[in-house]
Amino acid sequence: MAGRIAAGSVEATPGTAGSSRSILVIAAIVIGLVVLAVIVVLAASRPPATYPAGSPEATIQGYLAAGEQGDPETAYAFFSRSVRNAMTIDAYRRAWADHAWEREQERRVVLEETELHDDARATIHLRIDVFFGGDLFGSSRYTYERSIGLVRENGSWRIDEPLVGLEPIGYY
Amino acid sequence: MAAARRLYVYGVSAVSLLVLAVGLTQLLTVALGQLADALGASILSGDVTASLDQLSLAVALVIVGLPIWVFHWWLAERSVAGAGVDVTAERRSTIRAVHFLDVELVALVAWLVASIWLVAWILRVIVGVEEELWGSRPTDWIAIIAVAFGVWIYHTGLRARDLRIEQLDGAGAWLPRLYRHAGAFIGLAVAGFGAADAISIMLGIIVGRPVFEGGTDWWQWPLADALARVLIGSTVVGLHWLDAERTIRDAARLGEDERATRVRRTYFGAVLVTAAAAVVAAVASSIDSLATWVLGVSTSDDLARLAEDVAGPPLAVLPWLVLAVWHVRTSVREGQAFGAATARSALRVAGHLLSLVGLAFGAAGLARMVGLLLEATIGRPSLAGELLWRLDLAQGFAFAVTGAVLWAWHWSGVLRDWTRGEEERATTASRSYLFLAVGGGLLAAVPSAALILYRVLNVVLATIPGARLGDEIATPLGVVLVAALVAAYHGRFLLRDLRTARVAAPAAATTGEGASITVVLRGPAGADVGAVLDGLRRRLPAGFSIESGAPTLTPPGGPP
Repeated sequence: MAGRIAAGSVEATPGTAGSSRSILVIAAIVIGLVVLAVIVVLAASRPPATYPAGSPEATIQGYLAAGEQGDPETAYAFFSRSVRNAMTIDAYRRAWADHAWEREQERRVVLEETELHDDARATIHLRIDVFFGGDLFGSSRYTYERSIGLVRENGSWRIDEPLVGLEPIGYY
Repeated sequence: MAAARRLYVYGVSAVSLLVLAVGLTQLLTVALGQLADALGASILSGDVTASLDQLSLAVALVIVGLPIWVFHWWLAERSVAGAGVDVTAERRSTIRAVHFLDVELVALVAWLVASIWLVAWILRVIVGVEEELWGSRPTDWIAIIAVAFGVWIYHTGLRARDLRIEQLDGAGAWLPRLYRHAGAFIGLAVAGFGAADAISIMLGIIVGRPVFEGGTDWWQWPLADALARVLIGSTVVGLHWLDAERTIRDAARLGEDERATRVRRTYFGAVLVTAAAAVVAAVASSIDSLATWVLGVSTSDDLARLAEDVAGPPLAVLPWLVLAVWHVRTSVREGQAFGAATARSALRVAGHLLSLVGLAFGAAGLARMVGLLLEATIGRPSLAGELLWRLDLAQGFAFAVTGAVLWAWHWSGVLRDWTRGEEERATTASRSYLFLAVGGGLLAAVPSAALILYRVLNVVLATIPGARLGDEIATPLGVVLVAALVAAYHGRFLLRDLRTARVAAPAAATTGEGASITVVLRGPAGADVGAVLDGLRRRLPAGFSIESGAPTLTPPGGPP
């Protein structure tokens, strides 16, 4: 039969060297990727950015820092007057206590965009990466996005929606 | 012993490859995510510790998985390098074939799904759709695609090499074929339903479909998703179809023509059944919309919306109609390469499959209708005035009519073919159709009959009031009546055929001991003629056999 290769023809079969070489090439590529990835992660790692005091970004950063330090009073101070009027410090402390799980999460908050509507109103768009203890088959990072409205009061930006952590109060 | 060794080598290879692939994916996920953040985002809170933790886990998985996979895969590849009886047995082994099938399918599904997410996201970014990330980031999908596609292309290449070195048979031949056609079918289903969704969305835009939320841009997100499925699904079907075409071209080298295989015929059948089911469901949906409007129970008075509901579904499944016609024509054309009888067989199978799809939908719709009418007759007559009852009746009617038309159209063709002679009735396609119709009818009727008896016993034992009996048994009674009708109608043909076969069998037995032909099998010097003969024996249809004597040596220069 035309084009037929006889069974057992040594000429037509790849040698061990060919197969071994391709496996070694794959191993080399994988090792190269590991080295490259480690370099990228270490080189591209940056500490949290610093923003001018009184900017919308600095307000959110200060609010998040208060959360990390377990200081509800300082966090409460970042809310606008209308939010504080609608929610007393006692109510906020209760929500804070109910929401301890969020402060225990290992997470990274990344600024995606700051939208200035006018001199008095702004929206901050955030991406939140929540990290879990990884295992072989489970995803070890969960990503979601949040937008937070801010209002300028007495020259300083304040959060204009009732939040505990990054979640709206009343959600839970 | 060899089987135990293979189980060990391929089992450990598969597990370590999984560990390695997961580790590599996580590694790329962390690195690409970090790189993307470094290029365009500012961190407000949190530090690099979390990323380093993720990186450590990924590196650990790679460090554990890589050497184990390299060593065991080297063992597996060493077993198929060179020549000899053991090497041939290894290449033909079912365990090796199953390993390739599993790895290729899992990797294919992984990169297919991740590619759809990524392409849909890119399309949405291009048209400026604002969307929130939920769960994963585009860099995660790129990582999955890179690793899964790498695993897939490496294993696909190796298996293609195996097939062209050695003439494989048994599971070693049909499992790779099964993968090729399963891959093509998966791609086709993704692209076909994606195209149907895209057409439906575009019709909605033209008509100005009202939406509950999303404003006037409601279509952007689903259209991007549908187009991504069309793009990626077409790529997948194209890759697998081209692979199948290559194997057809290499038929002489592979020792078997792909076009004559059962797997390929099953693939054609699966595409036809899927397409037929999609078309019937769409046409039924259209008739349902029209019927509810005629009955005055439509949920919308908007004529534009009605036009979309009536014309939209059939237009949306046009891609499936085209695919069905193309696949039937291709199967007939391929059959013609083996003679007019094979081509006719392809058409016969298509006709029976379409009859079967029509019968299934028609019977289900009719059973629903009969059940509803019984419910309003022996149950609660007031039901006939209720909106929900009328809507259900319109739906049952739509499916009954659409299914019946498809069934009658193709079944009449089958009956016409039967008038050509008994051999047409005795074909596998005809027999299978009749057995499936009778078996399906009985399978539907038996549990429904049991349910009716259960309800009657409930009334007898006074656990439910007798007045409710009509309500309770109406639906199963509808199923029993229609299923019995289907089984009785087809059973009549089946019984007649079986009786004819019984009469014909003794007659054939008295005319002789069957047909035989003498064949001489020759091979090149050193060839294992016995192994080739064994291979041929395994491929014989039921009732056939090969008898052989001891191998003889042919003098140089060929036979005398």
